[in-house]
This record gives sequence, C-alpha cells and structure tokens, in this order.
Amino acid sequence: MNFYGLTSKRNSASKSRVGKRRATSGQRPTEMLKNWYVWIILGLFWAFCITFTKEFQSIYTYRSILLLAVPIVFAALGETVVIISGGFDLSVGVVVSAATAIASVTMGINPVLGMVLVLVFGLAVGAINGLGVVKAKIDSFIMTLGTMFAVNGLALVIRPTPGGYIDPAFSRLMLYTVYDFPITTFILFLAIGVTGVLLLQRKNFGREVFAVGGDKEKARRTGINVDRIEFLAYVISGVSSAIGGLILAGQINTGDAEIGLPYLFNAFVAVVLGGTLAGVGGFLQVIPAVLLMASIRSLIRFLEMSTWYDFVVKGAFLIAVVAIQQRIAKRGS
Amino acid sequence: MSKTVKRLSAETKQTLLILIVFLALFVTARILQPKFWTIEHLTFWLWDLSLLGILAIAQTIVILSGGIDLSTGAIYFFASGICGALTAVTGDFSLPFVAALLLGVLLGAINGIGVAKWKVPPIIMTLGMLIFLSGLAFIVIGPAPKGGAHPMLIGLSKGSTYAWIGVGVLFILISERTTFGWSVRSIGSNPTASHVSGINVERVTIQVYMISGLLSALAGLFYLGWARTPYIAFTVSAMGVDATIRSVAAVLIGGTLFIGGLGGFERTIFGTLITGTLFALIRMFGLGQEAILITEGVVLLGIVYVYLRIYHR
Repeated sequence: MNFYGLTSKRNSASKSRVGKRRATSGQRPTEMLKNWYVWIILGLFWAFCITFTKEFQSIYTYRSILLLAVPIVFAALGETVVIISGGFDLSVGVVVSAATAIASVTMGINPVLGMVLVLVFGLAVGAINGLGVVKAKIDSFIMTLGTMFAVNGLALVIRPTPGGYIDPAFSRLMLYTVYDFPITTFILFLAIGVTGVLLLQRKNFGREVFAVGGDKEKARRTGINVDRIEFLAYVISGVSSAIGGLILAGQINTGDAEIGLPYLFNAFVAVVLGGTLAGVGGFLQVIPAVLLMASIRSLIRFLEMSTWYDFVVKGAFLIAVVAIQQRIAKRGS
Repeated sequence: MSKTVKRLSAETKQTLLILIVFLALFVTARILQPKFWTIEHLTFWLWDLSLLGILAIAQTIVILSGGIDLSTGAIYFFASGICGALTAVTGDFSLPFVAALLLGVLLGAINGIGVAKWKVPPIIMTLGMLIFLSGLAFIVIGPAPKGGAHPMLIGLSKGSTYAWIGVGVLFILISERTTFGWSVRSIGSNPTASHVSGINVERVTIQVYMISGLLSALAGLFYLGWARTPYIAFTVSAMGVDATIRSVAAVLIGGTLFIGGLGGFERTIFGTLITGTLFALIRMFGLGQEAILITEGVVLLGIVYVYLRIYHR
C-alpha cells in the first residue's frame, strides 16, 4: 500500500535482482558496478573539479565538504534505514531544526544535560513515529507528516528567532582541527559510516530490515518480529537526525528552528542516489552520495553562483537519476 | 453484497464524522467569539481560506489517482512571481495572467510525464520539482521581486471565494459524472486493472498532474492579487513547502486517504473548512503560528487514526 511508489512498480523487478545477486554472490562485473557506481561518480566529479577549478586543489575545500557533509550523513542514515524497511520519514529535517533549538536553550543550563535532552527528544520523536506506523497502522508518510507539523511548531515555541547559547567548548570540539584538518568531524563521519554499514550489512538486524522492506508478509512468516524492526527503524532515524542537529548546532554556534529542511532534501537525494529502495540498497552507497551533495554545494559556492543554483541542480539531478535507474531496472528484469 | 453494505456504512460513518467534527469546531468558535458568525467575518474567513481550498482540490485529484503532488506550493509561488514580473514588464493584465496559468500547466505536465513515462515515483518526481523550482524562482525572479499585481488582478482576487466554490463544484461534477473522473479513481485503486480494461493510464496520469499544476498556478495568481507584490518567502529554505503540506493535511483531514480511489472533493472542502476553523480558534486564544502547527499535526494524526479504525473494523 505504498502509494508513493518507492516499492510498488519496481518491486517485482528489484526482488528478482536481489535473488540474482544472492545466486552469484555479487561477483559479476555489473554487480560490482552497481555497488560502487556512486563512488565512481564522486571520483569523476572530484577529478573534473580538480582539473577545472583551483579551489578543489586545496585541502580547505575538502575540509568544508566534510563539515557540510557530517549533519547530512547522520540524517541520511535514518532515512536509509527507514526507506529500506519499507517506510518513509518526512520528520528528519524538523528533528534537525528542533535539535539545534533545544541545544541552544538547554546548553546554557548544563552542556551535558542539553546533549542528553536532544538525544531523548530524537528518541521520543522516533518512538512516536514508530508507534503510529506499527500500532495505529497509519501510513508512514501521513504519520511523519503529522509529526513534522508538531515538531516544527514545537521548535518554533522553543526558539522563535535564531540565536541562543551553544557551549563554546562543544563548539570548539566540533570544529577542532589538527594541521587545518577537522579531526573531530572526520572521526564522526568515519564512525557513523562504519556504524551504518555494519548495522545494515553485517548484523542480523540489518538482514531483518531488508527482509521487512522486501516483503513484510514473508518476513513475518520466517519468524521476524516485523513490528519491532519497523519501530526500531524510526527510532534510529529520530536519534540519528537529532545527533546530526546537535553537530550542526556546534558548527553554526546557534539554534535555528527553520534550518532543517535542506537537510531533509539533501539526505533524501543522497539516499535515492545511493540506490536505496524498500528492501534494496546499502549505506556504503549513500556515503559517497552525501559527499557528492556537499561537493556540489561547495562547487556552486566557489563558482560564486547563488546557493539557489544548488537547489536547481539537485532537483533536476534527483529526477534524472531515478528516471535512469528505472530505465535500467526495466531492461534488467 | 454484505461487503458492499459494510463498505457503504463505513463511508457514511466517515462522512458523519467529518460533519460532526466540523460542526463541533464551528459551534465552539461561535461560543468563544460571537462575532465569528457575522456575515462580514464569515465572508472574510472563507476568502482567507480560499487559496488553501483551491490548492487542496488540486492535491485531491492527484491523491485520488494514486499519486501525490509535493510541488503544488512551489508552482503556486513560481506562477505568482512570474506573473508579477511580467506585469511589471508589459503593464498588461491578460498576457501575464494567461502566461502564468500556462506555466502551471507545463510544470504539471512535466510532473505527469515523469510519473507516467519515466516511471519516477510521484513522491520523488514532485519533490524533485519542488527543490528545482525553489532554486529557479530565486534565480529568475531575483532576491528582491520586482513588479506587482495589475489592478484588475487585485479586483479579481477579491472573488477568490467564488473561484474556490466554482472549482469545487466543477470537480465534484467531473468526478461523479464523467468518464475522466471515473478513470482517475480507477487508476488510483488499481492501475493494472484499469490498463487492462482499456483506460489510457499514462494519459490520465499526465492530465491529472496538468490539472494540479493549473489549479496551483490559479491559486498563485489570486495570491499575487492579495499580496499585491510577488513576495516569496525566501527566508524559508524551500519555497512553498508550508502551502504544500497544508494542502496535503487538508485533504487527509477531509478523509481522502492514500487508499486508492477512496474519498472525494466534497470531503476535501470540509477538510479545508475544518483546518480553517482550527486556525480561527487558535487565533482567538491569541496564539500564533507555532500553536497552529502543533494543533494541525495532532488533529491530522488523530482524525486519520479514527478513519482507519472505521475502515478496518
């Protein structure tokens, strides 16, 4: 009953491809290409930029790309898990906003308390989404649309105008550099990347998420606790987006109740570019897609074009990528 | 047979529920603020609500066909911006008006072609369009929007309530009386069966998105007439997201759920009226935008939950 078609039309095609992949254990060149094509696109994009702009020859560019990418990659992890499990999460962006808002208010009282509250908030939003989808059987799009409204309003109550206090020590930690290299950001990026890949590709939990997204009824019959998996997917999404928001608050040193929407867009474009669909995909393909999103943003900034070109490029990119994916899927089946 | 009776009764229950919720809110508003029921206020209230009403009708036809249009809000602002800019250049009324409507149809057609021909899922296609247009509007129209509404457009926008009623009645008739209306519901409930039974699914899908684009542009023109200058909220990171999610919420509150083919335009009109009464009630308590957002979210989830209970019983 996925009206938004992330599963419907492609489902039969994608299922058969999953079957093929298992049979040949991923050794064929086309399968290799499918798993690594986003890395190749990223490599080509960087090669292109290095050739034609001098900014991309400097380490500072990659530093800013990394800084831009970290909040997106946290938001993207949640969206990836939820979409693979067969749902959709619209609340990712507003959770990022609300996290910066809560941090900017509570960090003045006690920085650690503030961080804990942000995480608890993310957990709560994820749990509410999960309960709504699992227990009340509300379509994930409608459920997360409802929480999107509510969290957006809540964030505006907490922080009507941008501002507030972010603990300077936390902010310094988030922007800490060794020889101009943002080491904290890099460690966070690596940590979330490894966590995401392990979670989805190596753990039983990951296998169950794929099974639930592929065919809920079959998954239930093989003894998977479908409700638990779906619930956990939304909880992971809430917490992960909240951490993303916390890092963002440290980077920009302020709270802003309306900052989050581009993070939803960027995360969503990256997740889709990574080939993620219900029951299909992986975090290893989403990571380079996030880096590509941040690189496009940086390139547009260096070309001294308005940041609005970023939106034009990404909107067209999203449609083109999916149209091409659909064509390939049609030919492959 | 008994199945159809059960289904009918569920739909009747749902209709009754909408009416009860609406009347309860409406009477509460009357009790809290006696002036709410004066003709002047109700006229103003409907006028204020009519743009959302037209956008919600655009959204309904897409949702009935089994899709979703997240770009309505973007087309709405883009059309108003283009019309304003063209008015400044030409000083004419009809040319910018027609151009903006055609632009809406064109953008809708692109959405429709993406969904029907390129097989891009509706949510991705229209979200892509939303992101794309947000950027394009700023680049084309510029940071300080130039131009403004033609006096005739300002006059015309005073009658947007009538446009809302007209569009509503027109689409209720289309959906009840014509083959096209029947085809839309049919592809919403089962595209494969519709294709087999001889409906041109691709063509109907494209037409549906074109209608959605046209109505969004129409609402955008009324907005320009109301606001006088093509002010676009560029402080918000993506254009028209508010308008879009409001229209989706109005459709859902009205009870056109994502269960293919179920629902209708008359429900969306009531959904819009319920949202509007809620706005009015919250403003009576002296609360602002954030309270409206929270209430809208809670009411949306609560009412959808009750609808689902009615249908699953």
